Amino acid sequence: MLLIKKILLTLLLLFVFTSLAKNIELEKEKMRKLAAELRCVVCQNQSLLESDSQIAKDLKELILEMYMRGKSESEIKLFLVDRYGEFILFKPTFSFNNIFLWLAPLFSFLVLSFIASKKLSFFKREK
Amino acid sequence: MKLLKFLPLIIFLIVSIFLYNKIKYQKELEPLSSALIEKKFPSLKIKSLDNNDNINDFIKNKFVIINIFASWCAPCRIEHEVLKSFSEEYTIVGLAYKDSIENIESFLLELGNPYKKVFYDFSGKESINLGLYGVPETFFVNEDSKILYKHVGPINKMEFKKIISGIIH
Repeated sequence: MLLIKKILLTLLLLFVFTSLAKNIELEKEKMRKLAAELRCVVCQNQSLLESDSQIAKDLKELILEMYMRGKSESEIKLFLVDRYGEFILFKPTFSFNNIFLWLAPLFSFLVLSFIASKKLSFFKREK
Repeated sequence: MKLLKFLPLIIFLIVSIFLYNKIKYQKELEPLSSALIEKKFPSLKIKSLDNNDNINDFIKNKFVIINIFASWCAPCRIEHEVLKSFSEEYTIVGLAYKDSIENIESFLLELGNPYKKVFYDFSGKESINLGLYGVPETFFVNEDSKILYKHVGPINKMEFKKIISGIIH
């Protein structure tokens, strides 16, 4: 009876530890994904994920802690933007200040399409 | 159709004028810390070395200069002299970053202590709430605990005076 109890306890502990480890791995993966989208604040053109600087390591640890505490990706991003500004995001958010940046490709596409269609109709008429 | 021929040129001109204006009338480079300026000093779980005072309670209702330093940081040694020369005039608070008590004490014993109080953040995690890039960094915080300015890197006398006069005026 005692042996069965011991085996059951070992199995239970094993189950708890593997699920915990799996959970940590999952959160780490989430952290790595987010860190790749963030800029290292002290290096040039390096993501937080790639950087080995002390502050980048601290930030990565903090992101992991926040994920473990159940924070969402947007909450973590907001936390970091509040402290480091939008500079930390590789992909800037859509706002009035950078509307030109976001709409420039669409604007160029429309203008070029307009020119192309005019040119094409001009060539057709020539024929 | 004639106008269409000149369209690329018109677009080029518009873009050129836009970029020229952006370059010519660009604002002075904003300090790295712009995210925290004009915001309230964040609530930190940081205690003082002597009697476990909380930093937020200590800076309440006074104009303070908060200097983040470390005994292992070489530029902090140079900056220390500057802080000492202003320590009579202003309340300067030290925040030791990733350091040990023994090292902080010997650092201050060797170079003198310009700080009214020294707080510590041994793990460095709390300083992230201040948007820290590295040491040294100096915050100018007003009576309402609002961050007026943040200086990244060692500060010299000229910069210190310029920041103070900029804040007052």
